[in-house]
Amino acid sequence: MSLSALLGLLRLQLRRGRRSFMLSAAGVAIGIASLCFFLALSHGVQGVVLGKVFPVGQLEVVPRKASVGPLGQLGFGGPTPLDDRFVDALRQRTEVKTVFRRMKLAFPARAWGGQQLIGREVHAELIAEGLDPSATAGEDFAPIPFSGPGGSQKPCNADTECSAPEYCPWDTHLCEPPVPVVISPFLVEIYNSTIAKSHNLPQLGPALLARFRGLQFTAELGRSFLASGPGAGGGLLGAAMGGAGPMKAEPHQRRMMLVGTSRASSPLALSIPIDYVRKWNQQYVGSATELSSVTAVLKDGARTAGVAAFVREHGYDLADSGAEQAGLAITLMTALFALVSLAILLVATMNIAHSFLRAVAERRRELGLLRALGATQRDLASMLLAEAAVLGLCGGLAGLVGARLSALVVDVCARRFVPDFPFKPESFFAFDWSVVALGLGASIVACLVGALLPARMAARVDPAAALSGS
Amino acid sequence: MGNEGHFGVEISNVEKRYGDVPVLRGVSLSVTQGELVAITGRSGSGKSTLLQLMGGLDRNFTGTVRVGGTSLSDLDDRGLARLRASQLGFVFQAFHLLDHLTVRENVRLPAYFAGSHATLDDAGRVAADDALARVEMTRFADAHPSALSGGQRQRVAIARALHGRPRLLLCDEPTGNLDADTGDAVIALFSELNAAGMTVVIVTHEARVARVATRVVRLADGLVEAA
Repeated sequence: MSLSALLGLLRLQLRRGRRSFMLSAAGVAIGIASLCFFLALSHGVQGVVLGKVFPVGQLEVVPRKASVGPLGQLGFGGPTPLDDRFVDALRQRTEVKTVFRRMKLAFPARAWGGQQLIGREVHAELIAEGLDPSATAGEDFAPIPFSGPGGSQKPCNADTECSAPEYCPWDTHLCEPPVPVVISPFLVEIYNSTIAKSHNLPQLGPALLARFRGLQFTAELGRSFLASGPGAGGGLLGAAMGGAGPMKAEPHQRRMMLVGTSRASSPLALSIPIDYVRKWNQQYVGSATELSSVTAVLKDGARTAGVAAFVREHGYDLADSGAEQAGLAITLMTALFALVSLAILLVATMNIAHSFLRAVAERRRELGLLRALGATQRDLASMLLAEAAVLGLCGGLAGLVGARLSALVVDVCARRFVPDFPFKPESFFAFDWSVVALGLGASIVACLVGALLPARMAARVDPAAALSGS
Repeated sequence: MGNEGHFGVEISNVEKRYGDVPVLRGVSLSVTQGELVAITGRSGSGKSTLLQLMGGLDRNFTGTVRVGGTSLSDLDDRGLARLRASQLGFVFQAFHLLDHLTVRENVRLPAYFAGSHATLDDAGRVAADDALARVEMTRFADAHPSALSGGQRQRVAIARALHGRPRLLLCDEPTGNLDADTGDAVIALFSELNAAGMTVVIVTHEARVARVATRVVRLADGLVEAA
């Protein structure tokens, strides 16, 4: 039987028993809807967790923790400092796309500002790290770029003698731009979901965040709100930051300017261009070679195992980002939900098998007639399987529509009734092509599997017996 | 298997059993082209079984059945299906029309298995309408079988059998479900078809069918009693 003949016959057959066809398709649709719903939910949540909260495809290298054994106490077996030589070696790895460095501010500092925006000055310890500007490639910052130090370095005695946004620091009397600062979107999320609510402050949406761009504040380097006095080495905080000891330079002030958010920024610190931190660490503690961490961004599809082994061979560790555990938890949840969906689909498949078996029994005379009219055994089996495939296609499409509508309802309810939390997505679902393909594929396969035995029985109908009614 | 040349049926020494019960016990019979053969006998004499063997609907027998010179035992499922689609037409006592299809769609059913694309296009529609015209059922082409009388249904079944222009028409008790007048009209139709050159084999227990037959074969207890 040709394909056109099969399709023509299928059209005639589908005209009969629309109700039972709809019922069978509904059974399949429920299974497919639940399968696609959970798959899309898993994709969506995975996208947020592994894309925004725990970025995958990158490794953070940190110095190994100090040994606490006897050798460690004697000064042997201490951690290998993380420096530029290792960064260069890491860059040579074929799996690595790019590497960027981070360096903590190794001395106490404090900051204040905010009068122009919220009507009062906010004072806080300055917790900052230096970040390679290359880590922010592709991100937009304004009103000044995330780079430096630099500027015109024109001699000056007052801010008015410098071209905006440059100003005149009182210690150098050379015009320079404010230090650009970026913050992590995670920090914004934390602010929005906790600080803003508890202090009755406005939440930072895209519009308000844009207003914050250009916000200037003052940082005082070498002085802490927690320390005993200027240049004293930082007291408790100084000890916590590495016990830098007495400052090698007098405190001085610098202006800082918020220029935007960056996913490369540390989640719990302000990020400034690393060359500022190198310069200041050299000035205040006399050392600016030790990096606090190095982030290796891997090429698409690159395996992490080789890079991880390389890192450990060189005496360093990988920071535990939590991505692995989060990914595993999501995968397990997805597997669980998928199992439930597959169980539903299995029931639907059995229902289809039952429906088709009943149909073969009811249509026995008709099948015998078709054999008398020239149908081969294969024609009858093909006809039944084609009916099953159409049933699967219709059930799959209906299931996809059902899953999409259910997801919309859940998203609307989540927007209305679920309180905001960090990285709360606009939609918890991701209906990408793989979900659609899997849904339709599973539906058609389930129906074909259900119809296999009935198709075999249809092909074996004895035309003589069927037509004589025996 | 072309339409040219002699197209008859040769049955030799055919035996058929249903379990331990013998139905045909060494039947031999020859039907030549252009004959209208009536196979008669009492219920259970094996006449319907013999017709099914001629049509290749039942392959579980011993002996030889040749249709158009080809032994049916030598044909596989595909070969038998092709023979039925291209050379044979069947008419049954119970009509076996599909109620969810219109009359025209019922008549066109064999076209789906004829293996030719042409039969499914407009030409196929014309062929179906021609077949309906031959049995004077054109005006019912778009009706459903449930709206027709018994005689009309049998006419549609005959039109379906004629759609593929068969060379051998095999009819199993075609008047069994019809009243006398309608049955006579159907018998007259078979006679016309035979007069036009079609070989017709009719299984019946009615004497009036035998009256128009060119030959009557009588079966009794699985044997040919008279031919």
